[in-house]
Amino acid sequence: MSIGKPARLAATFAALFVSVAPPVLAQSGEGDGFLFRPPRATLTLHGGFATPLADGGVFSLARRELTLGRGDFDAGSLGGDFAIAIRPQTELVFGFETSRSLAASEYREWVDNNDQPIEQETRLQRTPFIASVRHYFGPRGRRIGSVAWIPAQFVPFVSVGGGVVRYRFQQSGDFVDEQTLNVFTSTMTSRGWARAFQGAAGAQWSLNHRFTLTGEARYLYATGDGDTPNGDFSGYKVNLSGVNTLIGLTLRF
Amino acid sequence: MRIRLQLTIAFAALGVASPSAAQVPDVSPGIQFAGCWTPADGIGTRARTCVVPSNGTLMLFNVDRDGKNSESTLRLDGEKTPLDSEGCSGWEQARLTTDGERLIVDGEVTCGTDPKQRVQTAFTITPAGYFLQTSGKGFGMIPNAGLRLFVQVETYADIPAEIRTALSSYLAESERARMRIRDSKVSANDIVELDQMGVVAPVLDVVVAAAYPTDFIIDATGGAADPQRVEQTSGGGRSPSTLRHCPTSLWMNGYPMLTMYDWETMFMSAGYGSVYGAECPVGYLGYNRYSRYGYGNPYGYGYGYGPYGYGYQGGGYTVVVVRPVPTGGASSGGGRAVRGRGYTEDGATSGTTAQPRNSVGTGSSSTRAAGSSSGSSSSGSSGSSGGSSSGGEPRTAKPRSP
Repeated sequence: MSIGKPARLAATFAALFVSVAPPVLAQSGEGDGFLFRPPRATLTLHGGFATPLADGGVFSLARRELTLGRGDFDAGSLGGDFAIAIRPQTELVFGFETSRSLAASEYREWVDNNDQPIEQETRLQRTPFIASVRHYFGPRGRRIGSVAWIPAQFVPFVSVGGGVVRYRFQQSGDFVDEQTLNVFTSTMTSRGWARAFQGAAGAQWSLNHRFTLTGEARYLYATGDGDTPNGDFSGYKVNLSGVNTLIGLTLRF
Repeated sequence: MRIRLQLTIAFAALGVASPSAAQVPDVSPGIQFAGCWTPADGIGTRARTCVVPSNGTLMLFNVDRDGKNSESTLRLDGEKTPLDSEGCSGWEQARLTTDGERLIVDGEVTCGTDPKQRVQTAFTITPAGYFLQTSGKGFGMIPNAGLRLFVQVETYADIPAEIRTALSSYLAESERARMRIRDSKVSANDIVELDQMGVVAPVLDVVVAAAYPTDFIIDATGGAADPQRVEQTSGGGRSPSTLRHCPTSLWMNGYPMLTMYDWETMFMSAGYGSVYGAECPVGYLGYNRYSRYGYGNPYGYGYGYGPYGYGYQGGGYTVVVVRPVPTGGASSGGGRAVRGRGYTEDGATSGTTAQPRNSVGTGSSSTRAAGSSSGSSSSGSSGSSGGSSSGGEPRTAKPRSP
């Protein structure tokens, strides 16, 4: 795993989180342990652990030929959610997360003519952008009077949604031409956008009236189209499905 | 140190021993309300109410210029107490919150053949040290609330001796309690407790707003500038002609939205002690946006259950709607300009605002700057009481020399 270009998005979001929070806090009133009104929206910055299924298509090829296992595509993730309350117990959530794995490998079955391993690196980057509806199994807080809102301590939730996922599967290094057994050096890439569906379950723990800790497990279902006949992975699909467990800090405003 | 000096002066004027030598009782429930209070909202300013703790109760004395005219007792143990006065009967129940900072009085009253009404009043001390009385009533439900604001009297010289004596051992402790409570914000736990005590939303809203004076608008719009309406609904015994002569600037016309801080400031500068304040209720309304059984109907606050009791002078509540200050509406501090008032010191300084102390003098020696001279514009801050100021003079403005 490495933190590279895709992490810039998360870093940008984190910077947004930090920069937005103070003015938001200044503008929306709060008392000692309560808000003056129910929060209209929340902003969450989260990190987690992405576990792609890494099965089928290019993954089958790679895992069969190379010393790659399913766990080699696991990666840390960073992301954020912006949620708007549309009903007392329902939010519309716009979120993204990005994860990127980097795994070194060599051919299982082949070495070069000097008995040296034939090595390569495999990168997988996934960045889903998902809009979902989140439903809480209980009130997110309690309004007392008309000017005091006290958050609930613990609220579980589920969500479903859909969107797109930006992906890139890239292998670079030395490869074996199975027809000629020539070893050649190359960088092969499959990238694009794919439709995605996501289901999730989690819970929020109130730290105080402003911040909550959000824990969530998400399952993403998405499959990248097979590359065009002239593409680097011609005919192979890229299975982008997987599970992501995350924990985040949520700001109510 | 300044407080101690003032208290010493106060006790000296009361003709009692100094606080250090006085028999200071154990902290009594509701001690923060002890003292003699006079309306700070311009409604019935000649009347005073003295609150004396006594064995888990609060003794309430209404005092007019002829001396004590009524008294009643408010039990603080949560027991229901029967009421029977002036054709009205029912019960009341007073409870202090766990921290003792707020007093909630519930009651049910039936007057004559009228339906039974539910009444609820919350007594609190505001961050500026005022005695805030928030009350709501209604048939079955309480749709809105009105507030009244009281300030410690300037002098105890004309308070009947028996009340002065009863109060003397409590004043220092009550001042300390108020100082402590002033800095104590209403917290989420307090709100939950008030809710569990059955405090209705309109009353609770005002209690919260009073604790966060710069964050809430106390909105009394909806005809606030209509003297005719006030005339019909005041029930306070003032003549229509007097009401009609009230300057419109006192009706909040032009600045219908005020923060709690503004209210307190305006009560200070325009109501209390002003040439108009004695007759003109500041922003008094007979307006009810929720129900026809509002303050403007014959069942309004004027009914009272007895001429005394915790309702003080009975009527005269200013019905308000509380809502948070709009986003971006809060001043960043220092000062701001308010339509109809011009430049004004910002509400962010509430809690340290100059206010009348329980200072004592002969009555004539104590002065207030705001509105005390006819027609002259003043700073609106209270003038220092003679002999009680230990610091430098506040910076004030004066006309430029020609």
